[in-house]
Amino acid sequence: MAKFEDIYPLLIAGDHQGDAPLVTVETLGSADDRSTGDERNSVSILVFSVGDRRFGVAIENTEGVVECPDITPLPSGPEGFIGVVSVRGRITLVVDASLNEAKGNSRRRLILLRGESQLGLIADAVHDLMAVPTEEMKTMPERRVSRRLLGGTSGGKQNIVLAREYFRSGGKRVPVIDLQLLAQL
Amino acid sequence: MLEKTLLDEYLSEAEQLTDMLLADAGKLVDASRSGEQRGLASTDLIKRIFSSVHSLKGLSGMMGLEQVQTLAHGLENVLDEVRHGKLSLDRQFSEKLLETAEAFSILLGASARGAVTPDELEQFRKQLAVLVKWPRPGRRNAASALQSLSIRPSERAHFSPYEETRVAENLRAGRSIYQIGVNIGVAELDQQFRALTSSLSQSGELVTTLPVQEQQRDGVGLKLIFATEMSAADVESLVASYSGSVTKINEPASSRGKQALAKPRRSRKPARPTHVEVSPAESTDPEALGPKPEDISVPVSTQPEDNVSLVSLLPPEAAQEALQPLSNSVTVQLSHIDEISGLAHELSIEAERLSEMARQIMGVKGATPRERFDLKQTSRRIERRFLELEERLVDLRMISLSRTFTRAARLAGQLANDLGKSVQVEISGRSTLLDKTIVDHLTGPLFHLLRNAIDHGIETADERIRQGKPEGGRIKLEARIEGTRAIISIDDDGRGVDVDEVLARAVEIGAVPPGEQLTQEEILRLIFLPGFSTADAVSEVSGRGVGLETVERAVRELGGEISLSSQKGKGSQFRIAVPTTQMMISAFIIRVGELQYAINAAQIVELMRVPASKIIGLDGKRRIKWRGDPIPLLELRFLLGLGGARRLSVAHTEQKGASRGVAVDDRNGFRNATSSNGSSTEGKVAALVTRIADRHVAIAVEEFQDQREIIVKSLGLMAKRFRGVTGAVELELGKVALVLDLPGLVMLRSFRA
Repeated sequence: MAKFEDIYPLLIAGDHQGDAPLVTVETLGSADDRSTGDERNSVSILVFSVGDRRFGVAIENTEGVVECPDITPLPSGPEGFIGVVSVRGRITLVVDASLNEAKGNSRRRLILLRGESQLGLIADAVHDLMAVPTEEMKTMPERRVSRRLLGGTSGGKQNIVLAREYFRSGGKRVPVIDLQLLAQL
Repeated sequence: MLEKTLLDEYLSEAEQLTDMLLADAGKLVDASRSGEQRGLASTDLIKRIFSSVHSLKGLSGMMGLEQVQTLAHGLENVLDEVRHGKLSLDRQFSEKLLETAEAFSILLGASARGAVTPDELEQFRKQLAVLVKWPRPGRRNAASALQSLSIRPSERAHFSPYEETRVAENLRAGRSIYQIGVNIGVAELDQQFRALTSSLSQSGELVTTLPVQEQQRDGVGLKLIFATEMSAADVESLVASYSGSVTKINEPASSRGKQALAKPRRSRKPARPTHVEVSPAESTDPEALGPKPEDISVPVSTQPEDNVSLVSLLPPEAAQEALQPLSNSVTVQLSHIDEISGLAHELSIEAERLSEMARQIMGVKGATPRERFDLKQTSRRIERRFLELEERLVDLRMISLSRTFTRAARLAGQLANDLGKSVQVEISGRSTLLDKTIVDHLTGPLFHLLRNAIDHGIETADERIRQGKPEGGRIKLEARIEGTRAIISIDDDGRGVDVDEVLARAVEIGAVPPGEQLTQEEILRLIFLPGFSTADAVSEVSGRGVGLETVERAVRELGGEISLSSQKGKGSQFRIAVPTTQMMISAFIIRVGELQYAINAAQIVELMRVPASKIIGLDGKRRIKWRGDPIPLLELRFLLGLGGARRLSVAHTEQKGASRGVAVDDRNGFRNATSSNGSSTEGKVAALVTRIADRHVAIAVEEFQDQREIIVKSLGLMAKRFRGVTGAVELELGKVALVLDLPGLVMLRSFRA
């Protein structure tokens, strides 16, 4: 599997001007090194990590990846929403899929999500673009959406469900963030 | 026909215009009756009347009332002649004009209702014909008026025909023409010039301004040509502060002018009629006149009572209906709508509070499941209703893109003409509704892009034919709604963007390192960079790119985005996505910790600096005295959940002359405000007083920064989850400040321990 950084050197360049998306969905779609699998039988998942945990999000739900500007914290709101940023003039709500385990890393990435909810996923690093065969996508077990899986090891947190599906990679479960669930928080 | 909403808008505007038109025409009649038709006020009235008729002509066109539009055009022509002094503005003419204006407004109303008969149109045509054929006074050569001024021939050439007419008029009215020479420093040129012209305009007419031939050492020299009844001495004292020189450049026609009048005001002598009496013998073309003036029952005598207006000729019921208001709309100020929105919002917070209180009471006193259920249901219903109310209020601010698109099409046509190109503009989605402020701010960028498309995008006819394209260029303007955003696109089938050239240019200006590999889309985005908007950016470069940075900034400030796609040789498509609703408020920017926040000025009753000694009470129960009564004092830091102690520590800060900002003990959280001149006001706490429920509360902040107008950007569909925050604003590039909702914030903290 080609490394994301190799395919999209701009992502790492760091001195990209302003906050134009470093990568857009169209460009991602045209990368040659992407794993060829039969398009119809696999889903393209962008894999990223927050702290120690890895997550995935379907590429078709994203609008691009940018360097995350300074985040302005919010005084209220559902768990996992750490603040707002402005990207190309549009206010974006920043979500930490691990529910507050994002490291205080200054060179963080923000994965912009499609839709009118103006959401973005914070990532400490964006790893791969994987084509996951549909048969390897599993449904998250219903009750047992354990905090281990979703992060949030400290007690007292609500049982937040952000993913309906997951797949295995490197022996671990990688939950795939579901936009609808996010928007319903 | 037109859609109902569009028609309503047009009618509303038509109504306003006709009101103004009739009022002005009435004033003109008054002026002519008291002999002041040559006065400057009348000149202004004529200008306004002309402008109203011109606008009404345009509106009629937009409403599809072509015949009315043609008639309006005729009226406009007559008015133009009056403006140029070709028709003299005596009492009879003014009265006739008023009648015609009234008839026109009735006609417009009836046409809009689809209720006009050919007869009625014909009646109006006759009215108009009378005006058109109104005998002109012997043709006075306005140019000869200029000859009588002692100025150089080269300066005479500088006068426009209208200005010549004005000179002639003023001379005829017996005024003096002065040449005022001033020299104004370049730095204050704008301001000083405005001040000077403004003070001059109050006692005369500034006909024109001539540049000075000789070079000045510093500053700019100007010669103002000024007509007035004042004496030279008075004019001199008026311009004394500008160290100007005053020279009279005409010899007044009548003896009256030679006298230096003590007061600068016009004397009130009625002017003797100098026009030619109306009679068939004088008219230039008896046949073309049609029905003779007398046939229209407008007697030529000068007795006002004998004047019969068209309106009174109609049977009573028709007259009644004809005068009915044209539209069913009212005009509302945006600020009023915003105020009501504010009230609705406060109400909704109260309602929530009430529910919460009820829940608590039920918790304490016990309640049946049924009671709990009822409460829950009622709360939900109320919440839904408030949402609906807020949505309706937001809708009130919406207007359609129709006017903007129509103007754009017209602009495109003119521009194409000027450039010798043929361009066809297709418009769709003109009835798309957007917040008024958004439409207002979008117009600039839109016209800019359109200009670019025609200037740089569309090729000349020859070039197009060579490429196998149709001779005329095609531009498509489209607006549609997608969710909460409006997408406005400008498509052209011109030469498209040459990405190679764009990239080359980008490397040239250093925006991109040489040898960089970029995708098509990335290259197209480069066009929006500042470097591309310099005037010297050759327009051959990609056929685009002049000034697009400003367009991007404007769209950003609206909370929108702009993108471009293009195919070389085929065309380009600009796509602007903006929110459909907008909120602009006057806000106070304050600081807590490292962060800035914006608070709607409407939520602030008062700003105060309270000496620490005046704070009463302890932790959690602090109060200060405000207008005689103690009110609670809360810390914004605490309300924002940023921690910050409940202990109010008032450390004495630096001496005078210290820089702005505070720096004291972190653990205690509480800091002192500094005054804006840099010295610290020892022991004073900055607080704002706001109203929550029906009580007043003081909220302490760390620093007041400034007050400004901001556009509040929405937090998206999930906005309601974030209590205490109405939105966000980008104060400077990249820095986002939350726009706080104080009542919401207080509520938030009140029910969590």
